[in-house]
Formats: sequence, C-alpha cells, structure tokens
Amino acid sequence: MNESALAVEHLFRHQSGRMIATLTRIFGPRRLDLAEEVVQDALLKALELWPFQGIPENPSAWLIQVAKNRALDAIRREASLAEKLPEVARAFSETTSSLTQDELADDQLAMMFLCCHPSLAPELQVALTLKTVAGFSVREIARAFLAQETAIAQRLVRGKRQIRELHIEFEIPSGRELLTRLDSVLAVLYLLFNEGYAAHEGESLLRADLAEEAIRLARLVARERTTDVPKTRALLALLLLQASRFPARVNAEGDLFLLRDQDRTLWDRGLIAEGLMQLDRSAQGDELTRYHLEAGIAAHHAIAASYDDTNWAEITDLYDQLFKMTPSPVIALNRAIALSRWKGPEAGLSAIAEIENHPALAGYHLLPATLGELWSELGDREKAAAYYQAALECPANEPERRLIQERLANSRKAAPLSNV
Amino acid sequence: MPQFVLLLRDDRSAVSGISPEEMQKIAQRYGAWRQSLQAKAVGGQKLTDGEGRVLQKQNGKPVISDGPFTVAKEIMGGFFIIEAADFNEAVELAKTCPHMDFGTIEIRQVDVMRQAARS
Repeated sequence: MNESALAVEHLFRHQSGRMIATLTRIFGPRRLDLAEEVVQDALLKALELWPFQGIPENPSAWLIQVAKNRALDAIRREASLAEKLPEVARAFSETTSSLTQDELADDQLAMMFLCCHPSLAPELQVALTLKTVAGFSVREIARAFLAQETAIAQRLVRGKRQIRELHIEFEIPSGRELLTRLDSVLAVLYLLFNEGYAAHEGESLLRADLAEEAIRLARLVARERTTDVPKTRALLALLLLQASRFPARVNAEGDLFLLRDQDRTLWDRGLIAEGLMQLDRSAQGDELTRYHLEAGIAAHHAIAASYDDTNWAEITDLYDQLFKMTPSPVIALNRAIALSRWKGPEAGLSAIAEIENHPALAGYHLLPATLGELWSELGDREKAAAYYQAALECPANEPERRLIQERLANSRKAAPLSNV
Repeated sequence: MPQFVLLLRDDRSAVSGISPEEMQKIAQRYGAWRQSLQAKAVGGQKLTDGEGRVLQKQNGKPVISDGPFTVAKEIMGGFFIIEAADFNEAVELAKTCPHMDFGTIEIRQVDVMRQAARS
C-alpha cells in the first residue's frame, strides 16, 4: 500500500487530459468519444480496485496500462481500428508512456487547437477544452459557468459533432494559420482564468482550480517553440500577475478584499517575479494585444508598495489604450477609477458621467458601488448611501454584496449626525 | 481478536458522471481509511463485475443459474476483513468507511470454534 503516491495533486485530472489527447491523435478526432470512454474506464477501474488492493506504487503507470488494455479491447471490437494497434502499443508501453515529454506536450497542444477551433462557437470551445483537456466533469463545468448540466452536455455533443462534420484535424497548425488559431486558444484560456477569478461563494475551490488549469495550459502553450510568441507570453504574464493576488483576495471566511484593502505581504512574490519576467519577454514584435495592456496594468499593481503609491497615471494611460482597442464601457469605468486615484474623485465622477447611462452598464453593480465610493470620499454620505443601496439592487455574488453592505453601513453610521 | 467481514455493495449511480479529480479524492479517502485501521485491516478483495453463478440442487441435480441475486441497482463490489473486539467496534469502524457514501455495508462476524477460543 502506498498512500503517498496519490498525494500528487490533480494526478487523475492531468493523466486524463494527457491520455485523452494521445488517444485522440491515434484514433482520430472523429473518435473523441472513444478516447474519452477508454480513459474514463481506466480511471473508474482504479476507483473500483484501489480501495481493496491499495494504491499502486506508480499510479500513473497503472492508469496507462489499464487504458492501453481498454484501447486494445476497442481495437479488437472494431475492425476499422485494426491499423491503430501499433501506435497504441508504442504510445502505451508496459510500464509507462513511452512517448517523450515533447510528444506528450504536442498531443495536448494539438488537442487544445482541436477544441478551440475557430469554426466552433466560443462556448463549445470552452466546454470541450474543460472536459477533454482539463478533465472537468459536466457537473463541474455547469457549476463553474452557472449553467444547466443538460446545456453543457448538449454543447459537448454539438462540439464533437461539428468536429466530425467539419473534418477538423488533430494537428498543431503552422504558418499564417497558426497565429490566427492561436488567438482562439489564448481567448479560451483567458476566459477560463476569468471565470476562475470571479469569486463565487461556495465554489471558491473549483474556481481556483479553473484559474490554475488556465495557467498550466498557458505554460504549455508558451513552452512550445511554434506557439511561444509575444502574445502567448503576455497572456501568461497576465494570468500569473493576477493569480499572485489570490491569497489576499479572499479570507478563510470567504470575505472579499478589494485591491485597496489587500494585505500585500500575502501576494505571491514568486508568481509576481515570473509574471514580470514573462511580460518582459512579451515585449517583442509589433503586435500589441489586450493581454499586453492588461498585464501591464497588473504589473503596475504588483510592483506598487501600496494602493496610494501606485502609478495611477500609467494605469490610466494603459486603460486608454485598452479602450481604443476594445471600446467597452466596463473598461471605461475601470479607466475612470484609475483616473480618480490619479486626479481625484471629481475627475473620476466626470469621467463616469460620460458612460453612466450606457445600456451595457445597466444593472452592473460596480458602477453604483464606485459612485458610492467617490461620493463618500467627497464627504457626501447621503449620496454615497443612495448609490450603495442601488448597487445592492444589482446582481452580485455574496462576498461582493457583503462588501457593499459594509460600505453602506459605514456611510449610514455617520449619517444621523448630519440630521441632528 | 474476532474477525468481521464487511460486504460492500455499490450504488453505481453515486459515481456516475464524476470527474477525474473527484475520483482521485475518493480513492484517497479509501486509502486513508485503510491506513487508519492499521493492523485491524486484515484483508479485502474486489469482486469482478458482472454475474456470478448460483448453484442449487433441484430434483437431486445441481442446477446452475446466473447470479447474483441483485437487489435493485446495488451490486456486490467487494469485501474487507477487519479485526474488532466486538460487533460494536466493528460497526464503529465500518461507519468511518468512505463506502457509506457510495453504497451499503453488510457486517458479518466470522464464526470461530468456541472450544478453540476457550482453550
């Protein structure tokens, strides 16, 4: 019995992603279902046997061996798969996978390109990547995206059907095609991370997993020679710098801490150093992406000694550039916040006045919450309280609501004085 | 020390659709449970899935039929043999088994020759 062997974190998840990728290469994308079934069977076999027999000395090797047997069973069942036998035998040897680290990485990368093919709708790309590359279950994907399980299951079915109908190949694209297809891979990783970044009460662990997987996969893309381009580095830098603040964002009780109130000694210095290094390496070529700008903003926060000592002028400028690239009112709101830190609350208020009535911001809790902050700073507690109240009427997750309630209570605490 | 057999019946629907991560956590829980029993864990085996054979004499001749006699969706998954001072302790130990979340546990004491026990 070897209990410590299973102490390897996410062993099943990562082994599942690796084996599905390799089997999809061998059986072909049309047989993605079969690859998943073989791997699922192998994992379930472990779950059935290990409680009685104990955990094997080398759990990965055990899983690979069982998956190999299942794959060979499938080949025996289907005459059309007969030609796949030598490759299954090569990829899954007796003791461990005989593929090199590079081959394994290539398989996973090609799998990501398959799942994130631009002809698939983005929500299909996300669902397929999470299920097959990152080893999430339908239930977990549904919980992470606050969607119905049946809706996620349907997306997976649709995605696989389109892979078959469009004859999407299992490959790492090259040349001009590589860069455009890389865009959708990076976009999916960005989305996965942001889903993980949004704290939802009760699901915090699952969400941290999402962010962690996004970083693991971004590292994988950055390690590969052909996909190691500036925008990949910029995305990786952004994810690392954002993740460096995770330990300070939420405490054990699930309370949320905004940037201003975070204990900066809790920030992960290792991730910051790595993020800054990646950002440095992303500053090549002539393509400026949103990842570059957002990573630049995150870097300014990461190196600031305190909230007040942050280079708000530079951050405002980066938001300006970001807005030019993607003119979204949410970016404009963030720019207004940065401007208010740089030039004062009045400047922030007049910047917000320009976007306040944008339909896309209707019901967005951060708009009234920010107005509440700015009015509170200007000493108008009544206006502040009214905006906090309005913020509470918008949809927001529990930690965010508690935070706004706290602010509202503070602004009311002092309010009666002015009435006396 | 008296020995007890824990017969584990699985409710497969409890693990349908679970993720690799969840499977690993479950495997870890069983591992931790076996470890917590230390020397009290005598042994255990998984039984193969699918049907067994049931032998019965009918009209003086053995008749073989497919079994087991399954109750609803539960199937016999395997068994553990543990040591415990008495039935109470055996029940307490079985209660801590993670299998409680995935099926039922039937506890039977291994009968020993009383004379041998006395001597």
